[in-house]
Amino acid sequence: MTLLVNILIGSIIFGYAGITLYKSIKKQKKGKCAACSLQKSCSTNTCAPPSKLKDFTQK
Amino acid sequence: MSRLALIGNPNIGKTSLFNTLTNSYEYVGNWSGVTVEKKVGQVKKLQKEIIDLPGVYTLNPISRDESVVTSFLLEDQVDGILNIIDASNFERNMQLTIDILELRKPVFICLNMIDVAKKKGISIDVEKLQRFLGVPVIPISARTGKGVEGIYAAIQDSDRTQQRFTLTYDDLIEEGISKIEALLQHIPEEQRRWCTIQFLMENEAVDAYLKEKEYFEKLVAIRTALEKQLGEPLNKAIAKKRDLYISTIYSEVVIQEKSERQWSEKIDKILTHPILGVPIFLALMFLMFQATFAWIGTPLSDLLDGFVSGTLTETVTNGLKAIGAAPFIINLICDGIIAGVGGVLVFIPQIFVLFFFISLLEDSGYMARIAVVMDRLMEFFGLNGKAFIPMIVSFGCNVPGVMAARTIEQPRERLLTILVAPFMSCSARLPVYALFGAAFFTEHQSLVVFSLYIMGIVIALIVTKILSMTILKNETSVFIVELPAYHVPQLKTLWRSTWEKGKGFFRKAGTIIFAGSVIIWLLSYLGPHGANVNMDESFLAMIGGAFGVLFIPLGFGTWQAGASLIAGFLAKEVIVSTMAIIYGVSEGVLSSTMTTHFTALSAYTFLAFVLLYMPCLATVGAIKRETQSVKWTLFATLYPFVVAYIIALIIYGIGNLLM
Repeated sequence: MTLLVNILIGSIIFGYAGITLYKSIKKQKKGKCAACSLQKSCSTNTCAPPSKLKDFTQK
Repeated sequence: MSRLALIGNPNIGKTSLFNTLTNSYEYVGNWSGVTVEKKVGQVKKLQKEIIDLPGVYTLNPISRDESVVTSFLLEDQVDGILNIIDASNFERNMQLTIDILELRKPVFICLNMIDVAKKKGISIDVEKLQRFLGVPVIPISARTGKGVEGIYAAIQDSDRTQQRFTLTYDDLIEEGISKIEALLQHIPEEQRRWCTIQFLMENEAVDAYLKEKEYFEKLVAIRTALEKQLGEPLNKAIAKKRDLYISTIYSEVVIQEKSERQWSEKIDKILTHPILGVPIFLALMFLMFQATFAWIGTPLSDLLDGFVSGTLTETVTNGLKAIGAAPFIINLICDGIIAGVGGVLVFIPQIFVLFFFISLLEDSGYMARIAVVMDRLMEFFGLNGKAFIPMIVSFGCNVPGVMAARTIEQPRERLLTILVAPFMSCSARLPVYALFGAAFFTEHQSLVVFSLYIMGIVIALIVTKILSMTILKNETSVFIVELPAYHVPQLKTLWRSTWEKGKGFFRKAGTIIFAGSVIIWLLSYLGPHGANVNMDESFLAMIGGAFGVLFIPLGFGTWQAGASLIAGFLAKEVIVSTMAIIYGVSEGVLSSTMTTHFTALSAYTFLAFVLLYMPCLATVGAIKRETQSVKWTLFATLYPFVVAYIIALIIYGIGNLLM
């Protein structure tokens, strides 16, 4: 029983830490859109990259 | 009608109105350019979607945030437009209103800031204005939500109240408009005139939209011929007619009483004074840190620390023992999670106090004045005052700071701002300062933190100068900022703003700081010789040691410093978590344990290094998205390391000479 409790606590902690880390890295890599709280309701695409700067940085 | 758009000039309360209408909370700042992307929300009372667009002066875009609005109107369907206008700046606001009215969609004019106008001695005849424009005009107060019911009523009644707006231009122009309109058959009839006029005014977004059409050449030919006939640029001719129209309305509906010299102008004279401006700003900042560290934040934080490292740890340990948890689990929870996450959470009071004061400065209207004060200084370094706004935003968090650079028109200036904004000391670095401040600089904690913030600004300016003289040779643009009215901040707004800034810390504590702490603890628990090893022989010590060697010349070449700096890339607060786990003691004792590894000088050098060395992962993500360039993202991530190393070397070198 004690062993079971230990395994349970351990797996919850490591599991949660692993998932969180994976999620945050994935989210942070994508930048603002993924982190936006209105992401779900935002149906349009003006969150697109600033085109003028793109032209400039890719010169 | 299912979708509304909210459009208006910058900083006139669009986001406040959006929040009131949708019962949500979006960041509101008392300066231009807070909204750089559009936001979508639901107006429950009307069962409609509402889109908050960035503030613009016209629909003819110059900068990125302005083009968002025009492309939105071209590409997306809206069934009505809420045009919010500033009653105290009626003439200027009307320029955009004419642009919008010509779109011939149902328009509802929300007349905001009537109180500010009244103070300026301005009053507006709403009824008359309504008759002139042929659309409903609703007086509101976006900050308090007064008058919002009028908007609901007007929208529900919109079929009856709307008239078609036409401003007749000179005969020649009208002829040209008819010719072009005849070609634009694919555009809905009611928008044809707007599209034509915008095309004549060489609106880039409209040009880009029409470019793909086979008749584009014909359109350009008509435009060129018309301009030749007129003998002056078309947009000038159109603007002239509009100005005339606006001044007619103005003289009819606006009643201007002679007002005394505004007290706000008097205050501005002092706050934006060429010589006094900067010292006043510095003094206010110092006062802010004094309150954060000496007066309010630290005493609260000490209480919290006592609870976390004492009562909480004891209770959890006893509880875990009672359910028969293994020493490994007890260690993980107490030495890993409570130490790591708790180690950061105890600094929450300082962070909230600082955010409160930043919100106070923002909401009162002072922040926009700082941009004006800094403009003169910034010009010398190759940027203008507008670039200082993203920098101020970066004090809260570098991610929105990088995003705020969108308000800068010049690509070169925008890139420069993105590159230097991460030097601004974001609030995530505050726990690191607080930890070291308490350990090494008890007496002068606020002075040390103040010096680091100033160092961030100064280094950003110097780097800007170097970059603008070398790889990003620069032509500067002119800086026009509108000074918002001063207002006494409302407690509700202040609290919301503080909470919005600060809640991210709780979220981070539950996610990335938690995960980081678990990993750091695990790496310190495991080693090549198995589990529960002496920490000096753990994997963490090996990794940290390999990196730490680099810092021997800087006075903190230990594996502990190396490991925490690596972990700090995830989020700067994780530096504190790592230290708390490594030194394996509670916050109170942590300070004294650290004195064995750092001297006051190497501690200050370390803090300067933490300030500058690398943007965190989230900021790198934002830079990548904004620049759309792997090359520039890599550059933005790595060059700060070189800058930090040089600065730290200088500080340590000079410090050693003096001591």
